[in-house]
Amino acid sequence: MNRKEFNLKALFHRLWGGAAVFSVSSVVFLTNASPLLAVEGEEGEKALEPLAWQTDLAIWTAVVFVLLLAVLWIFAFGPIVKALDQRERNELDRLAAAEKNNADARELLEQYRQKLADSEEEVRRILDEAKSDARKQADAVVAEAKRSAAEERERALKDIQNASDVALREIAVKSAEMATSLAGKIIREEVDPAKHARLIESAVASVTKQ
Amino acid sequence: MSGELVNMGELAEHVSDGTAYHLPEFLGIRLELPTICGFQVTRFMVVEVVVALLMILFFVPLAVKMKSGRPVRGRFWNLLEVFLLYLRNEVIVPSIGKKDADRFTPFLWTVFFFVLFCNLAGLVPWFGASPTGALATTAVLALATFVVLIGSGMRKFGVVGFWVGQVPQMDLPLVLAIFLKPMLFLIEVLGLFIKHVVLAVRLLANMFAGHLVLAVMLGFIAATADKLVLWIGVTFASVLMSVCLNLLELFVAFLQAYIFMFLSSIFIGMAQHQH
Repeated sequence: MNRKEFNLKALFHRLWGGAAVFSVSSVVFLTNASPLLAVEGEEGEKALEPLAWQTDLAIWTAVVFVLLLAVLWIFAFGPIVKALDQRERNELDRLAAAEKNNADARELLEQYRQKLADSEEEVRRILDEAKSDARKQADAVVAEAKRSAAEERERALKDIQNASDVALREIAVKSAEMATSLAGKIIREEVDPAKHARLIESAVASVTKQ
Repeated sequence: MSGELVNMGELAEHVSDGTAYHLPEFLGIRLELPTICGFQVTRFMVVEVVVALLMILFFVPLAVKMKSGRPVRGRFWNLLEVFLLYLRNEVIVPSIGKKDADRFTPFLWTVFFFVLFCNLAGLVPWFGASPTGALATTAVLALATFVVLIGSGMRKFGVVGFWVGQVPQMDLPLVLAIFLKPMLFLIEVLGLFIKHVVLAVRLLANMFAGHLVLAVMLGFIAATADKLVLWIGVTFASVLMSVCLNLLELFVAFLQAYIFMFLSSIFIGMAQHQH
């Protein structure tokens, strides 16, 4: 920072020094040499006349300028103006085409978005249908399973009932036979075989009813 | 080299027109320009021809390159195109209007680059001062603008329509109009001429003054050549100031070319769109 300040100061000093030298030298020069500048040359040199008119130069300038204008108009600036106009037209056409393409693209995009939305809706519908079908199938399977289980159960109960009936019948027959044989033993002489058979059937029937 | 060599005539030869080229003294060559059929060729005439040839050399190939309608390639050609496009789109079209601008664009481009190249020619060592530092040159250029303005105005509005149109439209009572309108016409027509005279003088004064200050600045060195110590200080300061002034002159060369072309386009635009 200090070094920078020092450099800036040095630069200012140098500039001031230069300006001082210039000022002093200008003053000295003007006091010594201004007569040489102010006085017209003794040997008839030209004086400074900014508004001096030179007809030759004016004619020359007019000729050069008109010729230059003609040449440039025909071979350079005229074609350049046309080229720029053409370029502008091309750019405007390109811009219009780009805008049209953009509009078309937007329309297309909108169509695709609509299609996408429709597709999503369709997918959703299909999924819902699939879920619904699956649920229905599952319900059907469950119902079938329940029905099947109920039938199985019914069949099993029936089998059990049958088995139970058969067992009871056999028990009854056995019991009747045992009771009959027991009673026969007791009252052997009073019961003939036909009576014995009827007694057994009646006993079985009563057991079955029970 | 002594102080006696520096006088007005010596300075005048460096900032105004002349019939010889001053090359460095140690070469011992002084190129005198010829007289052709009694017509004395001067440095400014040579500079103008060189400027015209340079412009043809630059812009005709550019036109060929731009003809295809595609952007040109290369830094130099792009630079030229940037100039042309800027002047057309930012100066000429706003001043004259989109509809009429293209009719005047080649003229105004020519004016701008002719003035610019003539201004810059004054910064080239030993080439000769700027032709735009002479009233004959700037007056012809202003006259060209004036002719284009009058011609295009009369073509659009008719001879009578153009001159009558110089008076602003005002709803005045008949008595007042009889007195005021001729006076306004006179003022407007005088203003039309004065504007173009000022156009010429402005460019002349700026270029001439710049070169004169540069010449005086360097003249200090010759004037103090017989006093060694003073000469060293003066030389240092003069060269430093000359470099700075040359940079300023470079800016002024572009600025004055721009102003000349800008005012020309505004004047033409005013003639195309009357009060």
